[in-house]
Amino acid sequence: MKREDAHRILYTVRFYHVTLSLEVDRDRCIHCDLCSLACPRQALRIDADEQGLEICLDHDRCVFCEVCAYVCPVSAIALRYEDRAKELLRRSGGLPLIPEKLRVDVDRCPHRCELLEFEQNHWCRQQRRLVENRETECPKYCFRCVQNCPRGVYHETPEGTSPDPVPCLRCERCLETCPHGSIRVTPLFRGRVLLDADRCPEDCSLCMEVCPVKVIERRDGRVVLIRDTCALCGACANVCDRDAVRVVREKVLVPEADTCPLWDRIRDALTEGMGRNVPSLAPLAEPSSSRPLQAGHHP
Amino acid sequence: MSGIGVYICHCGQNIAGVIDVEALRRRVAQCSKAAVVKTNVFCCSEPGQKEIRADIAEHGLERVLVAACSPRLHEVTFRRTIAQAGLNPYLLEMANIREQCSWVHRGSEAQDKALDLILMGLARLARLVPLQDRLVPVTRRALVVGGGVGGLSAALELADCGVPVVLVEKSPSLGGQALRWNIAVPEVDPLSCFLRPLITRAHLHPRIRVLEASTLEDVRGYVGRFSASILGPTGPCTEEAGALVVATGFEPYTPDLSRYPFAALPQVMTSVQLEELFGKDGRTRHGIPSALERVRTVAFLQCVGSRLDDEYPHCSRLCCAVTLKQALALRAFGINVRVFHRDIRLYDKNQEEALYGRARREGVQFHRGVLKAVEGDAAGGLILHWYDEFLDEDMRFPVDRLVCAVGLRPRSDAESLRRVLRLAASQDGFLLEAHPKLHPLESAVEGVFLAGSCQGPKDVRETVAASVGAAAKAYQLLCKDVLQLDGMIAVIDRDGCVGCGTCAAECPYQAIVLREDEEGALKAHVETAACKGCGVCAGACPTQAADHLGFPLEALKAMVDAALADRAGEKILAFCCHWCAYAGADAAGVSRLAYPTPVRIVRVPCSGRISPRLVLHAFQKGAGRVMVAGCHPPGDCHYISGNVRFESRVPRIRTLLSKKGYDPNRFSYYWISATEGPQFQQIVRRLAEGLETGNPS
Amino acid sequence: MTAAAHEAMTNQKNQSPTHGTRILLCRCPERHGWQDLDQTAEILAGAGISVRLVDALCERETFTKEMSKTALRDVERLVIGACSPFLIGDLLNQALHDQSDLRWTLVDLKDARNAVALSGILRSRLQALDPAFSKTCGVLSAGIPHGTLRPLGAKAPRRVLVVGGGVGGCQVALDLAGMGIPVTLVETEDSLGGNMARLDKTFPTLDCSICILGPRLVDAASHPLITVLASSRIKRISGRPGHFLVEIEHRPRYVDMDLCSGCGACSEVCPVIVPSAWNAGLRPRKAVGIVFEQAVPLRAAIQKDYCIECGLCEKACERKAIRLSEEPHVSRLHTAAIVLAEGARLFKASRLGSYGYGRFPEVLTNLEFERLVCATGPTQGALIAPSGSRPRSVAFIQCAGSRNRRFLPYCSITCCTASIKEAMLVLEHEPEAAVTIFFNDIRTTGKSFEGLFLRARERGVRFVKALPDRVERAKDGKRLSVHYRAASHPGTQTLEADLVVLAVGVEPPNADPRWVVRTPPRRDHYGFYEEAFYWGRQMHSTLPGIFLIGGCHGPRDITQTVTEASAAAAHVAKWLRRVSASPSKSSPP
Repeated sequence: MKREDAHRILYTVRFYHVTLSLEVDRDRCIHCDLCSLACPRQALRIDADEQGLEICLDHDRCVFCEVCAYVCPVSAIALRYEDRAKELLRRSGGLPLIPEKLRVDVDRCPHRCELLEFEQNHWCRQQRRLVENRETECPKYCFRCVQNCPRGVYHETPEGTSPDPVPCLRCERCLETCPHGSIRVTPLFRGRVLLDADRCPEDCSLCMEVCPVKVIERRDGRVVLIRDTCALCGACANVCDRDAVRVVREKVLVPEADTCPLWDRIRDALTEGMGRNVPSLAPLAEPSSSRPLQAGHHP
Repeated sequence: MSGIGVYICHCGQNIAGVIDVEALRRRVAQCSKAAVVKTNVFCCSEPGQKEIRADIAEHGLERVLVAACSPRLHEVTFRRTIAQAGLNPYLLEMANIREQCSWVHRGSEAQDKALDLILMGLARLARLVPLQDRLVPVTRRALVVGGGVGGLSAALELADCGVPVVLVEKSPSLGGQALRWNIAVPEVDPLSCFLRPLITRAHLHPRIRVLEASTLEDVRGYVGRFSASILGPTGPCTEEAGALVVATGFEPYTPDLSRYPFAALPQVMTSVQLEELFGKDGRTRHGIPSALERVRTVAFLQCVGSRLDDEYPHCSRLCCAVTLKQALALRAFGINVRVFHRDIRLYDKNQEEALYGRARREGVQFHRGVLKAVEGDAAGGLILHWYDEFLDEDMRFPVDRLVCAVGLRPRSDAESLRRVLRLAASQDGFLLEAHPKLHPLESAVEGVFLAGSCQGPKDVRETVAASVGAAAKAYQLLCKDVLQLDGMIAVIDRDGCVGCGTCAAECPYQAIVLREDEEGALKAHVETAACKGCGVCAGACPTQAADHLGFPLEALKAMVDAALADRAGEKILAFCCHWCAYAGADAAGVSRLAYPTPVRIVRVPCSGRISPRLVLHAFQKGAGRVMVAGCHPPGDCHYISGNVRFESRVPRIRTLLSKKGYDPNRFSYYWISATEGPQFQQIVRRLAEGLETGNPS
Repeated sequence: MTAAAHEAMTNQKNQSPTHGTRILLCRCPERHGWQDLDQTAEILAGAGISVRLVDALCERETFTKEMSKTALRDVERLVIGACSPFLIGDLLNQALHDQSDLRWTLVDLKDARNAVALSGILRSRLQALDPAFSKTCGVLSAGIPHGTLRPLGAKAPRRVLVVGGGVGGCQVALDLAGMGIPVTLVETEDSLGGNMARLDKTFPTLDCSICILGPRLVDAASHPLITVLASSRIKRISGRPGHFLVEIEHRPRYVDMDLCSGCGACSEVCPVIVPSAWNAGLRPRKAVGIVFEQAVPLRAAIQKDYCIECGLCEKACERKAIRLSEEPHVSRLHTAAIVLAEGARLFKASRLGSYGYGRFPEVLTNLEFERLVCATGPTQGALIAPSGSRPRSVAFIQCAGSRNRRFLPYCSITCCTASIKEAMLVLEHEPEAAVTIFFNDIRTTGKSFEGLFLRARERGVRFVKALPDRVERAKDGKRLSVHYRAASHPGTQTLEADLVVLAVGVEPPNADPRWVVRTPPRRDHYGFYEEAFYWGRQMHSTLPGIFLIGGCHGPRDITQTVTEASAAAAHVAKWLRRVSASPSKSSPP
């Protein structure tokens, strides 16, 4: 039985007293093409219509195999069985472990002075001066990641910034902005975006709207990648009806593991067969080496 | 006890749901020196058997115990299993922890009893001896009892297979009841046109000898070589046969006047009489029978002699169809027909429309309810007082004739035949099949097959099917020239035998003869081929020289010791005969009739195997109660008279007990049939109460 | 007609027509008394053919007199006008088969409308018996069922095909093998057992069904003379009686039957969960695995239409038995006889819209209920409602589809007793539950079924003589309310129930192989296979050499099926003797 509305898709199969369900959180979905590429039975699609992109489930094809939940970068897809998360595929060990998205080493962030009551001056250790009472915060205190992250991953807490990895797309924008090097991001794909700005019509801004990391913009009439922090998610390619943009993932950066044929098919689907013969590098070598190659503009 | 493998079965949840199988396995491993102790979800399934075979090969097991369901269910299966692995099939024991433990007990008590049962089994298993199957030559002839449709088709089928057949019919001519009871949907050829060629064919068949007006006096022997003594018009004769097919059929119920006083009225007839009015084939091409002229309304009263809750609560299956057929025939003469019934019961795909639907279309009126009374009226008709279920009120119907749709009953002479053939009867008095679902054609006696309505009400088509099937079974037996019989027979210890001849006198099969040995001393000698392995001789022998190879005295004693190892005083020791009492205990399990835990059942082939000394031994070990249970005398015993012979020993047992200073009232014996689970439950309960209160039951 | 044949006829006319010929007519008062045989005799006498009239030829005295060697001394060609070959054929065969020089045939007097037509038929048959005529016209037409007949050609193979591996199919295979006849047993499913294996208990003794059936299946599978072909279906049957050529299509299991040990390691790792058809969809299973615990053969199979080919099972299987790249293949079998034991289909309860089957999970069919209470079922034998609560009230609705003009106009026989048995099972699980059985007639015919009925009434099962109109969701939104009109009560009443069990009837088997024979076996107007003859031939189909047992020719319970299976075994053996006898012997009716 399938229930569907603007915010979610819920597909359940009932066996007498136990149920098996697949739930797609449409609000979370970034309309990337990973699930639609990886699904072994082509049950998931990203459809484009005038409202924009929408994820759709052909429930007749779905057999609850968990692949979509495995590849979804923002965990917008969840499977449940007997009121617990269905993790048969993960536990069966046929698929490599997807590396952790990011880690924040809070100790490297500049230390803030403890908050004081209002109208009380205090001696700031970093500035070596008496800070006036209207400045209750140390100016040195750093919020760059919180301000710059396009996905709203970071939150400000008394203990410093704490990340919520779920929406993170490993775009590494934070790496660029963090002067203290306290953030480590592990990329999942190596690849590039091919933007053919000549094809873009004058007033089209579909890709810019859909891009979850906001790296596409129109600069003096041309559509360009303003930053090289593209997440290679492929949403722009999904939405573009002029084939002006193409996302090429050359390699999926996962640790070597004893994998099953299903993984080979998933990897080939994601990389269009490119990743097959490339020797996989140690993913956590140094972040700079795994930065995606950019096409189009050079800084 | 090395080389013994123990396998404990979960049987899905049947056992594992009550008993912690894993804990049991550990305790067995501690308490016994078995080489292998394993559990399995379904021992009887293919991998289960495979595992056992593998272990036998790997660990060099010599004996195997399977703790699972009743041996009556799977002993054969597992014997085959270990035989395939090269073991002697008789070195197997089954501990019945399902029917007699997990299905009737709960909690820790069940757990302990399961352990006890397994230990008892191990005790017996250790003392079993490897046995060889006996090879018995098969007499390639068949004896068919009964010359009705069933008997005829069975005999012809066998004769066509090339088996010489002797056909014994009691009445002076073949044909039987079928002509009087013709249940046919309309528009088929008359039954007589089917039956008469059969009769002629049987008479003319080169391989069939028809003995009319003859009765079966006695049957001796066993599967493969029966010898039947037949009393014919020309005097008695003896016929050898390898297999018997019983097709003695049924007889219609004759209304008994105490229950149906109105049956005496002249306007009342039975459906059989009506059938005879119709002419011999049950249909009337020759116009209306004279007896029915000027009759306007005929009423049919269903379930006469059937479904009587107090007396005979069984359905006769055919009467409804007969009534509908007769009602249609009467409608054809323009006679009004009313059918007074409880349910209209049809059992064939065509009958629903061709009989019931058509009868309703033709204006036959059906009244569902209960008959109150019948009385004659002035006009020479009848008044039926009837409670109608639909209208929920009493009504009265004036009718001219009343037809009692009489049911089918077992033949009045079936009892004597049962004695002769040593067959058991089911509750309805018809012959009891080996299994109601999977062995409907075999009887409990090997080599005797049931054809047609002697086993239960059947119409002609079903009878033909059943008897042809029985013929097929018999042929499977007769197409071999030797037969394998199991090796569980009696044996005489020459040194112990004093030649008193008690065993020879007791043996129900005359399988023991006294012979002089080389020193000229009289010694008992067992005719192995004739021995059925009841062990009556072993039970009777005063010097314990006779023994049963399958259930040796030592093994039984060892089981008793194991059963009474601890808290002997609270235990009830039950010696149950394999065929009836043990099956009764199983029945109690199957229908989940919980009974007190202290009972410990020791399986014996027949109650006749129980010797006074065995009972004494039990009491010497401190048994609180000892009971012996066997088949109902006289007929039910699988070994003709073992139960009676045991009963004759009871006084000796009591005196022996009192002489040795045991209260003879602590010993008791009962008759429990295979279907009497509740009775078993009651008996055990009573004994257990006696135990607690300490006063003799 | 060739000139030679014409000549043969003419010179037959020239010589005295009665020479060596005889027509024997039986005026059977009960069967065809209306046939005016005297007039027929006159007409034939006009043609110079003498006719003997007897009443009741099948009577012993008459028959011995007429069929004795002396009576038939100078007769070369004999036409017997009597009843159907199914009635008297065997008798005539038995009496006449040793008179090798006599050519005879049998005419059913019912076939002709009147005396004139009858005399015509008789004359043509007599003519057809003329050796010269038959020689010139080639083989005698199939219109002659008895007597000396066309040779069957090559000796028939000594092998029997049994279609369907249920309890009936296994029984007939075992019985045939017991007579030393090799059998091939073809089962569509992945395991033997059929519907009986799905049952929890069997009535009236409440035996555990699989416990008594399992050993029987193992016997069949392990018998040296029986070849079991599981997950295969009959694709095509061609040839002629005694020589059937059968094409069997083997559905790939994607598992090597020799290597697999049914250990279940593959289903451990398989990520795909699908409804188990064997459990009537009530229980999930993996896309790979064994069908059920006591399946025979106990080998895994992959449901390829759900498989995502992740290859995890390949990794998990220690014995390397997984063959994901297996192809269906077809094998051929030359067999002398075929036993159809396909059994019956269950009626689709969803067709009874008003009972809400499919809309309410609380509405089950008989079989689903059996799976529910079975220890190997979806709830490991616990009787609970889909909501997980223990049912306080259970309603059984009889005749769901059966005895209903719109669906199944016949009675399905087993459902009454089955429902009573299941009512007892409910009380076994829930002694306090209120059990109601809505019935039309309680048809517990059959041995000691009535005892079960009485036990159920004593145990407190409520029997209501009414068939409900509809089943709806009750006010509280949880339970179901069954609306019915009981007789002797005005208006509709309502019963609140937690579970509703529909006693669905049985339908004819629909899977019909492609018959490439002259006359395929007929189906009757219900769709069941038609029986060759009412009396004593109910296991024969209308095509000789094809035999029927169990549900495929009418509703049957287990006992009837097993009985018929043994009987069919005898019929098959007889048929084999007949067709594999020396090639020039007669062919059957």
